[in-house]
Amino acid sequence: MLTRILLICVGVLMVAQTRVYAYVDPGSGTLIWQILLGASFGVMFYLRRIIGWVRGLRSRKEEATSAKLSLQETEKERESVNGQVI
Amino acid sequence: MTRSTQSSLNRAMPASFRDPAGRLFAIDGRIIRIVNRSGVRDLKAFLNSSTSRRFIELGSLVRTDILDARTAWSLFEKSANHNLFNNADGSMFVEHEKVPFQNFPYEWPPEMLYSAGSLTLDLAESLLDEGLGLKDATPYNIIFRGANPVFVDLLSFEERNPGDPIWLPQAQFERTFLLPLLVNKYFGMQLDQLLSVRRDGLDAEDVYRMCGPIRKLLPPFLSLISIPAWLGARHNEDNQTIYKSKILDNLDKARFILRSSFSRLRRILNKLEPKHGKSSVWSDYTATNNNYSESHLEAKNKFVDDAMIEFNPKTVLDIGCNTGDYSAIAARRGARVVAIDSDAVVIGETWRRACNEGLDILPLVVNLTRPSPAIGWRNGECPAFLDRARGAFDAVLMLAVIHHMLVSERIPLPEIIDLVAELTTDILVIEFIAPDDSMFRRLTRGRDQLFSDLTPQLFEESCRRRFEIVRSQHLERTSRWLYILRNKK
Repeated sequence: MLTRILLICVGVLMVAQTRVYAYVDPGSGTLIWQILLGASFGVMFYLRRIIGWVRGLRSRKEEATSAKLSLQETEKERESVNGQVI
Repeated sequence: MTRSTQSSLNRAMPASFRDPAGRLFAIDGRIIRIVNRSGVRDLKAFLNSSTSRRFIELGSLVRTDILDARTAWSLFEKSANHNLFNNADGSMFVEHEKVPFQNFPYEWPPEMLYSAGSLTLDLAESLLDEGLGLKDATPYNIIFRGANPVFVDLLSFEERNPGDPIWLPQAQFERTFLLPLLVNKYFGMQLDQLLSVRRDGLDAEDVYRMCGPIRKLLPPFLSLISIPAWLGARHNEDNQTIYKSKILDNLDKARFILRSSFSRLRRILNKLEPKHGKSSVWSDYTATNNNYSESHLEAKNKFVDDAMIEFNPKTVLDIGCNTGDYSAIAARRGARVVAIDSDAVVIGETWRRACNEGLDILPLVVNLTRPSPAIGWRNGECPAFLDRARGAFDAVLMLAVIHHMLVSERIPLPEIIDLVAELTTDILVIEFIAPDDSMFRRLTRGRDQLFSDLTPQLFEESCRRRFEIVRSQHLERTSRWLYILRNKK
């Protein structure tokens, strides 16, 4: 999907270009591209946060599950030990 | 001392006029900078940063001491610029370490431009966490000390708004580092020819015109050239909104964006790193393409080494150094060497060798028959190579090079000897190659009669006008003689 969007953008820019050979404002294109890339890095910043939050949530869940399991195992062990004693 | 000599010793360095934050002066061989009130805060913040201390320790940043007013006055009162001291209210005076032998980006092979670009990014990245940044990103901020880049323009640092996600000098970094390396790698354009006439490098639009339709869509051209060229063409030049700062409230986000931008530049720079083992007309000269047997090379190495031991020169200029064999011999004997050759590929190899072996060799792409001219504003910003080199060396090496100057460049022998006598203050180690040598004949290409009178006797006569002959050695079964000459001064 992302590749398709990028290809469409490139196609639009190529078709829409008007004054590539003119001496325009040197470096303005680089700066605009830098701003656009900066915006995409900004999106990545939030994506990474979301991914980090989801991972954190999952690991917390896993921790809780493993803690529950170990508690159950301990209880079982205790019950079996108690049974032997009895 | 005459007034003119004194003023030439105590002068404002012409290249420093562009920066409103301060000015640089050479006073009695010392490098002094007056920092204007507008630049004091930024410089103090930088000098207090851990980055500055770390890079100074590594030798990648010029050592700098803050001078008290009395010391500064004692220096300026003797100079023609003493009025600047009186007018420097609220200013700061600093003294920089003097980096030996000034050199400029148009004298570097691509390997050295890559290394300078890498240092620029190292500094920019390291400063990010300290709330500082670079306000420009040009290779003119850097001078090579031997084979190592040293960042010398301390007024390039500034305190930056931590919410600003844009590194404004990025476009300059691309123009002056990435695009020259790109056109060198993909189109074989020589950096010396390119950067000597274009102080601010190349624009994306310049490179766009060189690319075919397919190349424009391929990495790294698409991101570095084509998209900026397309966007620049669509941009209304009267619209200044893109230049307004865009401050973010989320400082982590701003820092993340900047780090990602630096990583992108680093990835592109690494892709453009010049590869080891490139070949050129001269790159295989020592290994295969010459008239020497193993024993000749050994004899020649020993002759040079003995000369270095006997005369112990502190500074050496190796003219036509090729891959730096004789430069390495001189450097191993403790000399600081400047090695020049017109071929950027062999100079790149000499640079790698100096880095790998830790040798004090500064390799430069300079053709002595057409040396770098004085360039820049009033021809004063970057002095000519010969103005920097005259009298700067205790010894000059000219091995297997004089026939190229005589034949290919048609420089008369007495002219060559006169010039070398201006460069060395003491010793000249030179190889004479007679016209019947097969390599000499390859150059004459049938014009043998032009050099029919060139004999070892005539060569010695020419040398005796300016030098004393200390000793000579004939390389057996060749038409080649080695000489150690001493300048009569």
